[in-house]
Amino acid sequence: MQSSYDTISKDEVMEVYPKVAETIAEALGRDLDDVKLTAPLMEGLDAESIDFLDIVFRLERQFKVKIPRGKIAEDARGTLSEEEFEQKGYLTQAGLKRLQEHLSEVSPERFRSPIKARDIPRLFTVETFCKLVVRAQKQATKSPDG
Amino acid sequence: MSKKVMITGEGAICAAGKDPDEIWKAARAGRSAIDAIQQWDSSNWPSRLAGEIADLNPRALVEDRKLHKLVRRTDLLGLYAASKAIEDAGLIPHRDALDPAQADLFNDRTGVYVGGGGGAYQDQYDYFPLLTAARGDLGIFGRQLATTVNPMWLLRTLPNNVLCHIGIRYAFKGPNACITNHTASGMLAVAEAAAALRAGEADRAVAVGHDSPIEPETILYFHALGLLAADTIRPFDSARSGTLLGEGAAALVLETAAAARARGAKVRGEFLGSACVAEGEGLLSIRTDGDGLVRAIVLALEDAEIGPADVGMIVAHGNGTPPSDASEASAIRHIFGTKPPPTTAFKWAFGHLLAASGILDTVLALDSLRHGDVPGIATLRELDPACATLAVSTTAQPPRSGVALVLGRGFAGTNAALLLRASAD
Amino acid sequence: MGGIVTRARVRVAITGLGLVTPLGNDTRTTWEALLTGRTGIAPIMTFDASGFPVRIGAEVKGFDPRTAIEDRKLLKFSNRYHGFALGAAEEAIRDAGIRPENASAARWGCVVGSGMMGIEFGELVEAHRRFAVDGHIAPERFGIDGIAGADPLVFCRSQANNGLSLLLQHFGIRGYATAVHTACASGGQAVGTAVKLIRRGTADFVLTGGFDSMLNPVGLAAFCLLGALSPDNDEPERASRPFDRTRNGFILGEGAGFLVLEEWNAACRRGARIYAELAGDGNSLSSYRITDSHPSGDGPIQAMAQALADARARPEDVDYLNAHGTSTPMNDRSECAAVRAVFGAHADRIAVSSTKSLMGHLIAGAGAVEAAICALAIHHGLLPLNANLHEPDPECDLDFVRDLPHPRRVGVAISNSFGFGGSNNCVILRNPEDVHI
Repeated sequence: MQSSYDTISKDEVMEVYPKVAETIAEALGRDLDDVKLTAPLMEGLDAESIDFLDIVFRLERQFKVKIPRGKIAEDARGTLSEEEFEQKGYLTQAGLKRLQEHLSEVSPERFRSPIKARDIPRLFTVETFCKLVVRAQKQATKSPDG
Repeated sequence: MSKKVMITGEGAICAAGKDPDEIWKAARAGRSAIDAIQQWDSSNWPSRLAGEIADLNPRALVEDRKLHKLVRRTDLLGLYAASKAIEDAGLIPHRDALDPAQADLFNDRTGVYVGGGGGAYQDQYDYFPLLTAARGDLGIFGRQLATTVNPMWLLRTLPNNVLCHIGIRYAFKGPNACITNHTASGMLAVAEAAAALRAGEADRAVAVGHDSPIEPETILYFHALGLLAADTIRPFDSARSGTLLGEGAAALVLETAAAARARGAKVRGEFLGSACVAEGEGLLSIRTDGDGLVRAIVLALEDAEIGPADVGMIVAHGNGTPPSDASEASAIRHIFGTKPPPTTAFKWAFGHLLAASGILDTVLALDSLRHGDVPGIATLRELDPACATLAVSTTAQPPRSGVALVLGRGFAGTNAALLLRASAD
Repeated sequence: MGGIVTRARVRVAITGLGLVTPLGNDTRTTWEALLTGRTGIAPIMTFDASGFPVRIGAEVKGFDPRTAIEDRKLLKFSNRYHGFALGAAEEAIRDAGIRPENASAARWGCVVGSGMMGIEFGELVEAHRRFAVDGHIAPERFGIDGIAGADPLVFCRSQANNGLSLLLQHFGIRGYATAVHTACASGGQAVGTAVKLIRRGTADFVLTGGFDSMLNPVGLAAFCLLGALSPDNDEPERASRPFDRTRNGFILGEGAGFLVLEEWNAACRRGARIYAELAGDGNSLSSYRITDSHPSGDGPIQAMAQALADARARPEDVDYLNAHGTSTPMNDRSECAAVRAVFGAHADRIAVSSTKSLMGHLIAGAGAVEAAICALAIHHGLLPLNANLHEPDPECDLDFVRDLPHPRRVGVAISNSFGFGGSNNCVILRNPEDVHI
């Protein structure tokens, strides 16, 4: 079972997906058709690390939400401490389990242990960004001042 | 002996056309592409003429869509000209037929040299909405920054974008430079590329110059400094009143003679020599005696191991400002006496491309030699007596030999001279 | 024997150094700070950075260009970093004990790493006030209202080659002169280009260096947006920690570094003090990504290998590396991989430091300042500190200079500079005692 903190329904994802896809297509110079929900950004859509900054910036404006920089990595760790999550740059077993829960949209065979903490962004798919937006929207309703 | 440097590819774009031949033919036909600025509403402007590329379609210039958010208009022009020169030289089909180890070596031995303008005022305007929001309070400026300005801003404005993206697109990994020395930039890109080939640092190099200075604030300053012409550029004319800006890019592929021969490349011409010197009397100062240009020509001739009598034609800087043209004529007279070779200048046809002007003139010099035909200066009406010894004409003249001298002058008193020869077909 | 004529190798001597850095407004003060580990990184004071995510930087402190440059008119044409350039260049020229004169002016060249258009923040604010109060530029208003207020001085100061122009004018240099700009590699590429000018006989003397200041609201904003800076506002002195496991970004600095280069024999004939031979230059493109570096070190590897070949040095000759070492996670790692690939086991015997740990990243000025630091290390037989390295990243397994003082005779020193966009530069300096003509 996922923690309630993380529970995001497929409907919620699909509600934001069209605009997220449009935003990502624009940021990466791709056709909308390429930006499938399951497409990995780095390996599938040729994003590099700075593109994530651009995408987050555009999503913030598009959805009028605030996504603090580094939010994805922080969310991925969840309630685990840094030491519980990673050791010497590699994810611990607990870390890997937590990450897999968090990135439930990423197909299981892509979580090949050992995973370096810095390689986590390689796993991100279009759906990861949809969930990021949904979470930010929920956050905003919790604290209206953002 | 240093190695011979051959020219095996060319590309160019400006208001007069999208390839060297089209641009040369427009100039040859006496057509000027200078017109009222369309990029913004210039109707109330005292100076509104420029050599703008009409109907510029970014996607037609550079296919990679993602690049469009990462680069500026000037970069697109540079990337386009470079891609055309690389295509013209046939570098990529040749490399892709090599075995992987040879292809890696090919990439490591291919240099990229770019001359650019170094930035534009309007790049900074992306901060205007933030300044408005901040209402003079830097605290607000800092806090609202991340949600107001695109994070890619710095990358878009880097002066070395063309260098970077030629590298990424073609995987060339050799020696490189990005030269930002005003009008001399493009010619210096050629000169430094040639020097790298002569010194054995690379087997071939792409040299590019690009600029897009047609923006409100630049036009404003040029106007305020009295540098802009009232109607058109009339180089060496008694009634010349200034220059007009243009935008564009040009590129050459240079290869050592051995490398060109080894891959059976079609050789367009040969780089013979170059020089660059400074007068150094101030950003906008020009010596009336043409001292810097004289020294540049002498050194370029020495570098090429030829004499003034070997020069068959001159592409002058001829920017149409009174002091520059007069001192340029004086320098040409100093070197060539009263019988200089046929001389032309091209800026009247598409504007002053600043960082790209000298390298575009180099490309057009090569075309002129190839056609055996030095285009005239169509806007010339009455030759200034101070420029009387120049062999300029409103109509075409045959070159005296197969060697051309190209001259370029820029801010900081920079003077560059470059010599090249066209290959017999 | 056949008709092969090999020309004698033209060697290049470094005979003058000048520095204006966050550590001090001259070479001596900067060098002392590097040897004692005194940091130049502190809360930003030159403007109100309180709202920025990053509020610390490496500022030049208390520098007044009028102490170095008497020509007030020239200073009217200067903005902040042009002042640094004039100050550092003046020190280098005085240090070399030779100046361009009428007879030699045409044999002096000048190559600077700068060359980006520069608009002072106050000027941008003024343009905003006049033409874009609502946040969007109104070009038609430019044409109507702009003419009267167009200040030619603003135009001149903003030109990409204005710094070059001021140097030429101040020193009376009349030979080959240019500005280059390959982002953070600019200073190194300028020095490398300068060496070639002397080798190919284009100049007998070259004033070369780099200068920059992006420590203004727009410059700081630009790097904040890229997430490239360390956010450790509460511990400025600890914030730049190249090669440490916990490193989290670089510190934006400002300043200038200049060197006077001369043809070796001429320098010897006039009895010049020679800090070092500027023995080699390597220059490559990574051609990989705009900001990401190739994990294997591809690109920097070619630059270092070329520089060694150019200097006719073997990998095992190298004693000291002044690393690019920005303190960003990816860059430091890939630099170490490149060093390992080029030097193999000998990498363990090279002392490595990133002086950015104390003075921050001087952007276009960095490569030239760091080449000057290598010259000082050779000259004094002392190595500058890599500060704040408490727990090295296991993937950065080089021999870092972690203690002071650190005496060591340096035969060959190398300095790396890598820029956004993938331009890589490596310069190699040799101890003058090891130069045998």
